[in-house]
Amino acid sequence: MEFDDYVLARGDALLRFAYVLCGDAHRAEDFVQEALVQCHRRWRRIERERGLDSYVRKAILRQFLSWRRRGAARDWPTDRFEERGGWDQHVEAVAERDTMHRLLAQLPRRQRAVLVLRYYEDLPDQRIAELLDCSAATVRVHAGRGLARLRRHPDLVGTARAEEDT
Amino acid sequence: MSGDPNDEALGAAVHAAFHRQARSAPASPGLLGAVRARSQRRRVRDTVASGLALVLVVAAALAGVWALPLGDDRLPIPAATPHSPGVFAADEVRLCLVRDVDGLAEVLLSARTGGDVVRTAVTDTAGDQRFRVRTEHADTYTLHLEVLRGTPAGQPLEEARDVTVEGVAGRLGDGPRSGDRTLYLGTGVPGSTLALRVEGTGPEDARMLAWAEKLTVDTGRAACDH
Repeated sequence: MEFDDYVLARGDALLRFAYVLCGDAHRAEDFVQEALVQCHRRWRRIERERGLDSYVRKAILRQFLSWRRRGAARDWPTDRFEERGGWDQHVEAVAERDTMHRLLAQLPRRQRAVLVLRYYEDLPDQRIAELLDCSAATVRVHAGRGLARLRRHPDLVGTARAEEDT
Repeated sequence: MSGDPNDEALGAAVHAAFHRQARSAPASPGLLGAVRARSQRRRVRDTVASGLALVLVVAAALAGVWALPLGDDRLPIPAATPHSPGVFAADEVRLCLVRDVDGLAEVLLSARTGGDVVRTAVTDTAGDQRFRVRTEHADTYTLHLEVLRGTPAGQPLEEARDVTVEGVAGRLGDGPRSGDRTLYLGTGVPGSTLALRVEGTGPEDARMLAWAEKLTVDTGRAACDH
């Protein structure tokens, strides 16, 4: 597959993946662009040897988990008030963000990455381990800690039950 | 995943939250153009850097020839040692910390200097969780880059001050016995610390901190394979 065709076909999915990881539109675009630039130079080799989607996703994960970007990614961003169209819309938007969303944002990045890969991408632990360069046991530990942290929060008991009911 | 109904309910809630969030993701029109533009900028930057490196090499070679004596014995005068060590003069340095069940197992270094890429892999041969990643000699000082066990706060330093590099907390001070100027920084991997130590009359603190800003630490080896 040509690079241009791949970006046109998979761009939306990659942006969604990056956005779910980091929660910020600008940063998600930056992650995806940087990952694609890195892959662009060795596109043929990646396609031949490793599989495009997997490699690009791994590159996005590396951006997200990178130490250099830690300071920037630690703070959960909220879009600027003006960009959201004023107070009323802002209030509505805030109300829509449920407790789960807020708590997921507060997880350490590696735990969040594991949960995104498991619950958004629906990947098995072994595949997640390959993407994160760790063992499946480590993946289970991160997932377990992430879920335990969510479960401990008193507000979330109701949310989880509500999801179960629907 | 476990078969615990509570876990399943929580998993379902997490799944739903992520999918709700994904609906607000940015769209991709313009992505291809942006990637192409960024790629082009990167190529120009690399070309300029390679060109500058070539100019410097030629200039250094000319300076070496210039230093040859014109006397009868025709013995060459030794050229000055390079002032700026290789990896520490690099534009981008990447460290990859590879862990196993016992903790940190291997540290890989990947640095781009001009057109060249320097790669090193260091294991903990002494079993003391001290990874001596890189040592480079300049004319008046020697620089050591190491990854150690512990936290920056737990490392012995005299007259230390707290510093922050790209949002990462660290400490800068003098080694207790050697007096070497030393910068300790967190790595992002629990229980490990990055140490940049200068032996001899070395660069100022600001230069050490500026160099640390070029450093990227990743976990796993993939980032250093490129």
